[in-house]
Amino acid sequence: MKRVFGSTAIAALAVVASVSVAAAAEQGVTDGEIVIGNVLPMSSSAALVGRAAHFGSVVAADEANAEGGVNGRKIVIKTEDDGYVPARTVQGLRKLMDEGVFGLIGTGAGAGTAAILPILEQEKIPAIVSFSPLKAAIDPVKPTVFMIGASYQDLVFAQLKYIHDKVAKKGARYGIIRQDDDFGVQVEGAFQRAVKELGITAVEPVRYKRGQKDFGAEILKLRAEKIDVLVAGGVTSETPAMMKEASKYKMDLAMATVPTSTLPPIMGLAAPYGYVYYSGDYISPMGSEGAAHFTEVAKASLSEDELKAVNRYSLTGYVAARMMIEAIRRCGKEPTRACAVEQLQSGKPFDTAGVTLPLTFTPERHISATAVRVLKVDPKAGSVTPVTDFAEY
Amino acid sequence: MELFLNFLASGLVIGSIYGLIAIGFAVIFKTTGVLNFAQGEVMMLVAYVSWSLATELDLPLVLLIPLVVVAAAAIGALLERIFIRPMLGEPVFAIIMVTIGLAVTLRSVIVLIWGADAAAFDVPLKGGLIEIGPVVLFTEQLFAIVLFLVVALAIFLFFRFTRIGTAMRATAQDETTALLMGVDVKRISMLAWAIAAVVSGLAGIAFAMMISRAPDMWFLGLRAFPATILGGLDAPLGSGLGGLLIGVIGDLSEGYIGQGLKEISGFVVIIVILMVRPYGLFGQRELERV
Repeated sequence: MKRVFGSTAIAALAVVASVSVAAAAEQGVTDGEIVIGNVLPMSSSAALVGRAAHFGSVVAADEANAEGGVNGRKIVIKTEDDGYVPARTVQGLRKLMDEGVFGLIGTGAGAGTAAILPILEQEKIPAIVSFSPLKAAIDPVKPTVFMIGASYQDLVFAQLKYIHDKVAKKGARYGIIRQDDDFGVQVEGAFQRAVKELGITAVEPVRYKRGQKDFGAEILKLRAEKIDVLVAGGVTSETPAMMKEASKYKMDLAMATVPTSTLPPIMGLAAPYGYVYYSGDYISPMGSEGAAHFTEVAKASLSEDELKAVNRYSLTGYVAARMMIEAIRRCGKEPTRACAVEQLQSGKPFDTAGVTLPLTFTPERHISATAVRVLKVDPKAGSVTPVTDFAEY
Repeated sequence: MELFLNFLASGLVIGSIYGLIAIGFAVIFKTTGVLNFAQGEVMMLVAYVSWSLATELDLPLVLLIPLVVVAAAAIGALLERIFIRPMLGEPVFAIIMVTIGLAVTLRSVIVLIWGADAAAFDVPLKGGLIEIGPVVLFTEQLFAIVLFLVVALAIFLFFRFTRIGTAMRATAQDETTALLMGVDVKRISMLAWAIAAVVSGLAGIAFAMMISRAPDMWFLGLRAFPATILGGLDAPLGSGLGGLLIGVIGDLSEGYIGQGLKEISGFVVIIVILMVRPYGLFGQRELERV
């Protein structure tokens, strides 16, 4: 009987001990560090944007650490490469979880984000989607998932509305070439919304598989349909490839694109084909007054080679990391995931150092920075000029 | 008709790229019995090296091509010597696994050296428009088609009329007999890798000139592989023609039917063809005497 009692007592003690350890140690938090994770395309065609977003988050962490860290703890950024493959986004998140991560700021591209949403919900991991806005991430609201930036639907719709109101002739025909995945579905969502709300004349959408770079048949098909406006829904170098084929047939087109088309390497590829096209964005462009503080701290944080990889996506990575760090800071000396989520959705503004206006989330609204500005991109001149003010679409 | 001819030309352009890479696959398989799953990556590596040569040395295309041929041959031979030669005598499956590992390594090395950004491959040949009747092509697109025809002819002549080509065919037919006849089988394997690197590397240059040189170019290897199956794994020229077929069928089906059929149509054709000719359109049926 004594032996049974002894065993039971030891087992009970073990359970109590394990419960108290679990309560004390939040995932990704040690005495000296707090780990924030990214799962981003650091390789593949999307590496141009994935690496930039990673460096943006590193700059935010270095900035916080230079000021003494967060309540005595250093912020550590851990980034996993998903190679722009949704299955690897899941693997990357699982690896981060195994190693211990407090929250997530890089959530992969659209399809990758969609793939990890159930895990984020189940594990109650605070996450700020900023790399590739995905409506499904916040609509309906997921308890721990937040999003910065307008969705691709809004970004492309804003351009289509501008083109419809100010550029295209009456009765213009609209076409779209979009990727055959979640990202493409969002881009086509904007197109279909324009069909519905603006009453534009649309031709059958053309879809292409991820990885495709030759658009001869697709452009020929749209040329036969006599389109005047094209939504060039390439992720990165696909957009200039579409422009090249269109220029071959001297097609006179107004083009709407996604924000990657404002990145210098993509503008460089598009320059020879003579098109001035449109894009949309919800943040201040690089080189503007709004990005001045980021540029300054980035110079102190990154090497010369790393600075070369910085672009517009660094700003979104920076803003997301800044918000996560501030939410953790507001939780005091014993930060928990639940507290960070509470702070994020408290309605109190988060300062983004001028990249955007101060941002807020509420329990009912997990999205911020949704106002879009339409940009005119002249790749030959190397200029990106706003043609509208920020507006909600 | 104008539309059809332009779809056809567009298909021939991309088909030429697939065809060249497919020839690379077939040359190695025909000679060594190994499927090189790093063919797309080797193509990409040669394209990147060529891009560096073209931009750093500012070489005209007439000088660049011979230089690239030498560089590509060296790359192919070196890869064979380092990664494949030590595996000789091991099961084919193990060698194939090595090529998969090589593929992943090459992708990472390329990003490490050249970075992740896409860049234009500018050469003086690029940018002009050529009109052949109703068909419009960029000069670099016509270059891809001409390159395919020249390489296909060269491969045909090499295997048919040269001593080394005959030795390679002999090795493909029966390695042991070839060895007994004095053929240096190891050197033949190295040569096959060198030739495959040159042929697919030229495809890489043509593609980079048309689109851009970017770290996802290796994907072309995956797209060209079905062409090799269609043409016949042991038929370099047949594989090249398989590439043209895949390109043309893809663009025609996308143009006239759409719905993303560009990618699927080639596979549908392969399934149908393989049901009738399991060794491919131009592959040789293997006979076993019992």
